[in-house]
Amino acid sequence: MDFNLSEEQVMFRDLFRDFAEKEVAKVAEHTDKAEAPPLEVLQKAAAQGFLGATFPEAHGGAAMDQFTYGLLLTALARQCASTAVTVALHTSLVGMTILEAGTEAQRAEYLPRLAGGELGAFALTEPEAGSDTRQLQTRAVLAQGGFHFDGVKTWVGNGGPAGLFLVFAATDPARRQDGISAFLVDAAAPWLVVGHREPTLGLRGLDVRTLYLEGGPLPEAARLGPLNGGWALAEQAQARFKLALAAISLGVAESALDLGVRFAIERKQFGTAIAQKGALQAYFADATTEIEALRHLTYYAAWLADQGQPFAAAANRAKLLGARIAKETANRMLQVHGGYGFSDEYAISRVYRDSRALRILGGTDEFVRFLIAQDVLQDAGVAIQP
Amino acid sequence: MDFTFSPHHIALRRMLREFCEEELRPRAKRLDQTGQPDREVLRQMGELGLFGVPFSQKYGGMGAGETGYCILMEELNRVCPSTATIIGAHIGIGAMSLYLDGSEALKQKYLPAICAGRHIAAFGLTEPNAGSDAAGIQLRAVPEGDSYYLDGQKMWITNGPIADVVMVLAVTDPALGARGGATVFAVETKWDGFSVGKPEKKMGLHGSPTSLLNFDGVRVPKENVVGQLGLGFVTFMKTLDIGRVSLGAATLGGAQAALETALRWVKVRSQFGRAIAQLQSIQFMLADMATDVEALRSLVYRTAWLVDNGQPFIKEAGMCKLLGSEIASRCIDRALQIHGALGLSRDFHLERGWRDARIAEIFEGTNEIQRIVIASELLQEVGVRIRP
Amino acid sequence: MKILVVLRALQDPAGITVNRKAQKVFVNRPQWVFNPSDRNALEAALRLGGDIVVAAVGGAAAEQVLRDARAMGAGRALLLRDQALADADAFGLANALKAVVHHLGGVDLVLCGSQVLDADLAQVGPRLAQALDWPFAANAHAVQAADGEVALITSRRGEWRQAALTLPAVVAVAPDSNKPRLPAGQQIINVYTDPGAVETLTAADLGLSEAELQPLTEPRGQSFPAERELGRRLDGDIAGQLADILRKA
Repeated sequence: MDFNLSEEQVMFRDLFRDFAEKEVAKVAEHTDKAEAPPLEVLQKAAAQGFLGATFPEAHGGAAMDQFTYGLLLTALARQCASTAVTVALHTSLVGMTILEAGTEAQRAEYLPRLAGGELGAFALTEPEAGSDTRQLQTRAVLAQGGFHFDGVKTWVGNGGPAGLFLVFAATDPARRQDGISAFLVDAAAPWLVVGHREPTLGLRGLDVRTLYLEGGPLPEAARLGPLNGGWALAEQAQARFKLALAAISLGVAESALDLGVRFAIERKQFGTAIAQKGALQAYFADATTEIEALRHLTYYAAWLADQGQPFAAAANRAKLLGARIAKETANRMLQVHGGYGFSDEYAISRVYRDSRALRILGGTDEFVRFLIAQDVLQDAGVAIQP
Repeated sequence: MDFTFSPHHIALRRMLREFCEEELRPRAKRLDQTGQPDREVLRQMGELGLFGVPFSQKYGGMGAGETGYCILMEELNRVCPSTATIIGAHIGIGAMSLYLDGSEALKQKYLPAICAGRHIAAFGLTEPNAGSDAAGIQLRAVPEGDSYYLDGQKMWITNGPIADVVMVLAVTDPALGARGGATVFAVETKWDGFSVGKPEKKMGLHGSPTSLLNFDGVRVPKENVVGQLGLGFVTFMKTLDIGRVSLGAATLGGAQAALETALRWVKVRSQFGRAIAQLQSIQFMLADMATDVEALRSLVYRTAWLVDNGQPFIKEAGMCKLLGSEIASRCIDRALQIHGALGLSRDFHLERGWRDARIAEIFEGTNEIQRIVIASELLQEVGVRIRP
Repeated sequence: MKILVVLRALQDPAGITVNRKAQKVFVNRPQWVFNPSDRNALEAALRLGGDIVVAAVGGAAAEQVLRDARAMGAGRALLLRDQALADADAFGLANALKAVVHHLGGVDLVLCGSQVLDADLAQVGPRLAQALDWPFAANAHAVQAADGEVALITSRRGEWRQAALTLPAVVAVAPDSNKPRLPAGQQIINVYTDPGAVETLTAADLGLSEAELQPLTEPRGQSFPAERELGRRLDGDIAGQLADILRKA
């Protein structure tokens, strides 16, 4: 066993924190109020190599392992959850799917663009397909000139600013999940219409859109992975995204605790700083305990991924625990703030709203629990269905 | 980073698993019913070296470090919390205080017998007026010639009725009290003036005897002072700090056992025409249990690694104990719920596990004390000192 | 007395699921254990006492089993690790073990388990005895040695026989014929942290030729044994029903 970060990981962690504190922190409130991603900061992140964190250097990336990339997301989320999720969607769902399933030509074309600051968006969810994406309504039909599309995608994060969309559509609807393919679509495609900006409770800096796909053609060369092999790509992408969300949850919980502790030191009641009150100390103790457990479970899952071992089971657990702990910590720390916590003037209210999304984004708590139960029951020899 | 256990720790766990399944499991129920420790099983544990797992081989220990000790506690508590508690009081706090601060001569005198299981150790801190607030101790040690004479009482002493040597915190300077005026003594229970009260009747951990200890002018030679005169409180607090890591490991074993038991049951129990494993409400309980267990495992073994590598661990140790005890109670309670009425049956082992688990939220520093310890470490990092 | 104990590592049955419908064995957790009756053989050797050498063919799994054997009390462990042995069948293994016996300058007794949990071919023991031209006994219980002989009790289809073999000899020890000891913790720590606890030998070290390792058998495939018919529970007038069944049989 060795729980030390490597020298390189320590260097990166410090670099990430530095960047997040200098660049992200100051725009976090504005990002939330303006309900728009901090595009300037994201360009600076791209210049640092953070938008191609896990891509090979040959494709303009920084060649980080999953573990180090997780440290990046935690550092970003500690200042601004919206920004961290923006980067995670771009990297875990879009970039890494191209890296894993793309042809050499596709990698060479798209990865440098993504690493250079063009955002990626992942279009899987549909009005009728949330946790259950086995039967997609969006169709892609091969006709003259390439694929022609017809359908609607909802809850597409980064939808507004994205330059590249990874779209999933049914190419053989009768075969359900075995008839889904993945496509890389430029935002400039005239038949792709970016629609309604979803107003949200939290993560307001994340640009969430409805996407209309009405026509074509998309050249066959823009299909990602095998024909009718899209479902597996979506599953792998979502497992990676859960790992990313665990790292983000960790950052959100850390930021909430940090805000709570700082407030409690400043705020005086009954003649002492409220940090001296046993009841509040118990909140801090519980929060930091849970955060520490989450940290090491998240690290473990990322380490498994880097070892090339199956990591989905650990990532599911870390995702579920992360969402719960981020939400619970933000809730307790809002309570520590008293009335101030309810004010938009204090960052904790934003962190609290943001934390709520983590129990839904990337798989609802309920669906993730099902996946975990499926895993433990499989070990015991029982197969279950959602 | 490397989350892989060393080959010697993997081999140790394999041996422990077999011992616990083959030897301990068939006896666990009887231990609960009779309230008597099983001398035969303790003898076997002595032969396997289980009484000195974390201690150096120089003193007859196993030399498996804190990580090895945590593996032991996890495996024992997975099968028999009473036996785990005997070992926890013996190694984790009783012998540990001697190991941490005792003189070389005193360690040579007692540790080989302790590691072999010939001497059972205990840890004497709590008194009628001193629990979480250990500063209130009153047991007196008065020097005379080359000895001290001990007068007073200790209560709720795990292993009290079976101990051969007890590490006792006594007041040597009443003016200074616990802070600077308390000293630890290694007291052999065969000495004159020492007697044991009746075993306490407890809700759980029946197989782990607990009692009052009476000290009626017990003569203790000066060489049996553990650590420095007057600094006994420090020795005991250090001991408790490290003990919380392995206690966390024990709770991990309890939680793991609850999950395993539940998984076996949901396969075979049918309701509404299908195995209850197919019911989502049951699946969710299993998922939450599995998640909690996995998080606790990461926390416990990372903290054990901190100890083995000489890094600060006090905050993390408190976390192991706090989170572990609550996760274990929650998991066992859920497993009991999944079993329905069978969970309550005394012919089945879950009700015993349920009774046994509750104490972990109380002993070796209540969870309320753990929260103070953790909060105080946390706030100290940002420059604030807190008072309990 | 010098005793060679032959050991084998097996996939831990607790880590696998057998699916009859799919005719497949799924490995959930790859972990290795002693072949059970080999452990009885080692225990029998430890009770006889003397110089005890354990040997196994294979890689990491075999090494683990050898380390466990050292922790239980074997004085020396030999790992036969060579690609040339990977495909060897019982004939090749017997030749390799014969070479080990020579490598050790001869031994008084070779013990092995009489059943192997996975394939259960039970060939290596008798083949080794034949290669060495030593006497052999299978399914041995209560192995004792005195005056150049080894005395034991063998069981076969419910029949128990006393036997005595002149040493040197090869004996296959029955499963459950004794209760194997657990290794003490200190020994586990010492053996597993000592890189020299297991000595590695190659086919070349043992002077084995290609012909000696050439398999005589060729695996054609694997299949599940036919499912056994379940018993039937009799209620009520058991004697009457039994008589009826026996009459029809």
